[in-house]
Amino acid sequence: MHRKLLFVFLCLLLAFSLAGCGNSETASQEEDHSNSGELKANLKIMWPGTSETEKEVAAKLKEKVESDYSGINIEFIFLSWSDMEQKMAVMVQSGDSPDLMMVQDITNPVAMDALEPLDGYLNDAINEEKFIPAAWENMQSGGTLYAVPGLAIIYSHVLNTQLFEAYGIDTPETWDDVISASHTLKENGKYGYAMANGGEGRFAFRDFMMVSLSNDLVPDQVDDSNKEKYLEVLHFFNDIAGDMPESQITWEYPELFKAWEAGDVGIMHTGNYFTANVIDHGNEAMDRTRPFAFPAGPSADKPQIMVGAVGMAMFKDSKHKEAAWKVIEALMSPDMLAQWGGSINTTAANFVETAMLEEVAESVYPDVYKQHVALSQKWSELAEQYGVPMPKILMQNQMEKVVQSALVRMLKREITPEEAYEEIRNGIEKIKEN
Amino acid sequence: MVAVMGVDIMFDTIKLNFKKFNIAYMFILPTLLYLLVFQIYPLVESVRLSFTDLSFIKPGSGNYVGLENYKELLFRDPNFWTIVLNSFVWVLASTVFQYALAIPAAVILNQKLKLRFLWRGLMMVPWVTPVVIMGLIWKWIYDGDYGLLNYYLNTDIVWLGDSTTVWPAVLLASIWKGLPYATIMVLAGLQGVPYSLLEAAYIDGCSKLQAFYRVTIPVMMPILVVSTMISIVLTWTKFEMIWVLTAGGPGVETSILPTYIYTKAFQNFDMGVGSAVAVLSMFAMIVFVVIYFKVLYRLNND
Repeated sequence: MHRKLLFVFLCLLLAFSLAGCGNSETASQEEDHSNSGELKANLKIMWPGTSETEKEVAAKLKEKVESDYSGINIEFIFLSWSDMEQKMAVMVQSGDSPDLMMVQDITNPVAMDALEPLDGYLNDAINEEKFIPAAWENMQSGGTLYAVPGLAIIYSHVLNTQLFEAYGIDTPETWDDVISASHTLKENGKYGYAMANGGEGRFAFRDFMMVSLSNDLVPDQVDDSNKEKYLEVLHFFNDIAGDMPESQITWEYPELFKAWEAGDVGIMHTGNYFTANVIDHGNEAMDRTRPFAFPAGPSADKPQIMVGAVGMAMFKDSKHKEAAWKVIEALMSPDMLAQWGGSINTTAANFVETAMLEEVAESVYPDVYKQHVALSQKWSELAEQYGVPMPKILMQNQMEKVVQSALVRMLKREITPEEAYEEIRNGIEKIKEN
Repeated sequence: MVAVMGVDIMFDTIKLNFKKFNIAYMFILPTLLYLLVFQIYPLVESVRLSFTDLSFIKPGSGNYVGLENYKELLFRDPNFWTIVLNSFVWVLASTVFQYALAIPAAVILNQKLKLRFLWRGLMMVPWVTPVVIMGLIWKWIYDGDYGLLNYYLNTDIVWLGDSTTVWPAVLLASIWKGLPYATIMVLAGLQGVPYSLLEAAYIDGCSKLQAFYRVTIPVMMPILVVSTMISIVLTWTKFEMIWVLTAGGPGVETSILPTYIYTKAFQNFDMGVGSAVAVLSMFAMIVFVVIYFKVLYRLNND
């Protein structure tokens, strides 16, 4: 008798344990409308949740949506930016797509055919006219909109005003000025220029891309017609190699921003996410940081400021597209955009009042909010004057490693700029072939 | 007719055994299901994928390509053999140094020390600290400009950026992390050595050192063989430490097979090639383990 009972108990235990392996989609496959017409859905949203600030914005969005639509429940999947794309790829392939996802670069998700085109959803509240053109364009592929931009990421170089003033250096207007400023700072015991060349190559590639753009070049253009421009960029980095910290070969953003806060570096690349990154190491750098447009190179007529965006994309396989769009609408409301943009960088929408952004910035950065707002304004001015959409490069993450490897070896004087070019060209051509 | 009877008998025996041991089978079943779902199925699927061109960013991919991925890796990939060599250096150096340090550490911890439980507890700290946290701490220690190591040594070496120092630096962090496990294993082995054997050796005129080499080590050999084997397998698949410290870079200078699998499969989304690297890595490990056991078996017999 006892044996039989134990047998039944084990069977039940097994059944319960296997029940956990079932498809969690069951709940989210409910109809979008209840009998009373109320919108009903359980939505999964992939959200970059590496900082409390980002999580706070997510919590506010959840609160807003759930109070406006009581039938919509939101479940956030918090991941770092670098993990999000990997997780998304696996979820899409296994038929378990989330409903919405925050994106910085739509190239790979579009190539995976994972995103829902959003042009058909646009309305009076959300349309092209209401957003910064470069940010809007950044969320398009082949003329189709795949995400609504919420934040505009404006990338530029910054200079250390304290060091520049101390050694009588003017804001560089040509590449030669940058090289000369860098040499002067190095002669005075500082680092003229610093990069973050460690990690997976993302930041090294970003820096390289920003300088390349200022020479009218996109890093994946490795053909003969662009060889001269490419070599000019590589020679530029080679000329200032001796002015850079040797240890930058292992640096990622935390180390780079730490060096910046320490006041040891004259020039580096960053973007309007500067405050959120530097504040972890102190706030002294906020008073001595000035964004500037990296001067045009020998093959370009004018500087180019790269403008990227962070937007909300909807998945093609979402079962709740109507509810998902409501979430996008809620996120793009002035109060949410102010919360989001004010606490992180700059909103991509042109209908959010500056006063609202400043109010949020003051609550997030109470000690340095004035400097934060001033820096944000400067970045917006630069974007207005020189802004171009961030180039979309398919398989960029593979190319990042290739560029990082060649760049690092060149900066260590192991190879010449010409050899670095050949290495980059072969690597990128092979990636494109595959 | 005879064959049919044979099959009948076989089924009867299985039925009888199942009736007799059904509870025991039910106990095994969850583990068996777990192994099937989470170990065997992914393994088989990984082998299958390695013969396809599946790429997450190429809709319509996933077609059978035969041995193309293997040919690409073995004959055309300029990085693959460097990475294989890195993997062997990483595993052998980690394991050898871990045990070279673990044996004296275990001998000391096996003495009647004051506060012995405290020293044994402290020894466990690296083991119980998450790898990623430890990796980040080591990364700051090694930083060329602001690192503690350069500060105390009064040097300005870029430990993780120089090809002569990057491997020793990464290995030191790995050894530090793995040392407690090796020490515990050796300590367990030491506690299993009968004192009567050591006493007999001393009576026969052995010094303490001789007794250690001629009695303690041979008695501990089975534990050493198994635990070094586990260490080798764990280090072979260890990914996080190198990823946090160098991300396999610069370039592929510190890449090992697990980091290469991750890069190919989850950064480049090239699941076919990523799976092929995983299958080759598995075979390399199997061959390595077989050779390891054969050599040890021969040494024991000698």
